[in-house]
Amino acid sequence: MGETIAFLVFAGIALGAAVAVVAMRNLVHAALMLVIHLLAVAGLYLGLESQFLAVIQVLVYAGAIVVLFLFVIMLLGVDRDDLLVAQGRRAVAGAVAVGLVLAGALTFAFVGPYTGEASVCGSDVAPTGTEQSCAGIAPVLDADDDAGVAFLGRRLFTRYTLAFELSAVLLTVATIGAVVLARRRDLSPEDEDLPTGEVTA
Amino acid sequence: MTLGGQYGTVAVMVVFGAVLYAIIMLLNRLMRPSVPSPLKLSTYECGVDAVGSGWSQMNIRYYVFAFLFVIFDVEAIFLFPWAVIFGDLTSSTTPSALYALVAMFLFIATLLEGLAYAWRKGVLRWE
Repeated sequence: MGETIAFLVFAGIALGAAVAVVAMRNLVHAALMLVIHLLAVAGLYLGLESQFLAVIQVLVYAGAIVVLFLFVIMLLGVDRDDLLVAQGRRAVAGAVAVGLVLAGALTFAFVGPYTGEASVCGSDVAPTGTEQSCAGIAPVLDADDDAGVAFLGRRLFTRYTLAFELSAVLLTVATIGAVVLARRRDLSPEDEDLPTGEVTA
Repeated sequence: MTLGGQYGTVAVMVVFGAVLYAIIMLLNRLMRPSVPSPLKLSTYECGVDAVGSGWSQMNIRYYVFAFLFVIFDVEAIFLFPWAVIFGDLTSSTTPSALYALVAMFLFIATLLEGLAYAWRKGVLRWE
C-alpha cells in the first residue's frame, strides 16, 4: 500500500519533471527540472528497497552530473535571445514520432523479459533453466541487510575488478581531456567586456 | 525494512514541512502591506548597481573544478562498498584483504594521476 502510493507520487513527479525538461524554454530551468526528475527517480529506487542506489542517484546524478550540465550551459552562455522555441509544426511532429518510437522500443525490450511471470523471483522461487531472465537478487537482498552494499563490494573485488580498475582509467582519461580543453590562456569573457578598472562586486 | 516504518516518519515530516511553509507564506501574504515598486525587483548586489546580466557566459576554467568534483564524487561512491566489506576480509577470504586493499589503492592512484596532471598543467592555479 505504502509502496504503491510512493511509486505513484514519485513516478508522477518524475514524468512531470521529464516533460518539463523538454518543454522549458530556458535551458537552465530545464537543467533544474532535471534535478527534480533525478530526485524523483531516487525516490523510486528507495521504493524498490535499493537505498544505496538511491543515495548514489542523489550524490552523483542530482549533485555532480547536473552541476556539470549547468556548467556547460553557462559556458556556452544563455542569452535571452536564444530561448528554445519549437521550429514549426514539422519539428514538433518529428519529435513526437521519435519519442513514441523510443518509448515503443523500450516497452518492447522491457515488457516480457523483466515484467513477465518468470522475472518475478522471490526468495521462494529459484531461477531455473536458461529461459529464466530473473536477476535473482531477492535472496541476496534477504541475506544482506545493508541494502546490498556488501554484496556489491564482494562482486566488485572478485568478478568485476578489471572493470572497476578500467573505470578509473576512463575517469582519468576524461579528466585529462577536460584539462586539455580548459587550459587556455586567453582572457575570460567578463574581462573582455568590461573596461579596465571596473569591479564586479 | 518496510516502507511504512521509517519512511512513514520521513513522509510525515515532508508533509508537515510543506503545510507549515504554506501556512506561514499565507499568513505573510494576508498580513503584509503591498507596496510594489520597480526598485524592489532589482538585483541586490552588495548595495551596488548590478553590472551586466546574470546570464553571461562563464569562464571555461571553472569547468575543471566541476569536473574534478564529479570524478572524486564517483570515487567516494566506490569507497563505500569497499569500506563495508573490508572489515570482514582476511587472507583466507575471497577476495583477500590484501587484494581488496591493492585494488582500491590502484583505483585511487589512477584517479590521483588525473589530479596530478591538472595540477602540473597549472589549471588549478588562478592567476
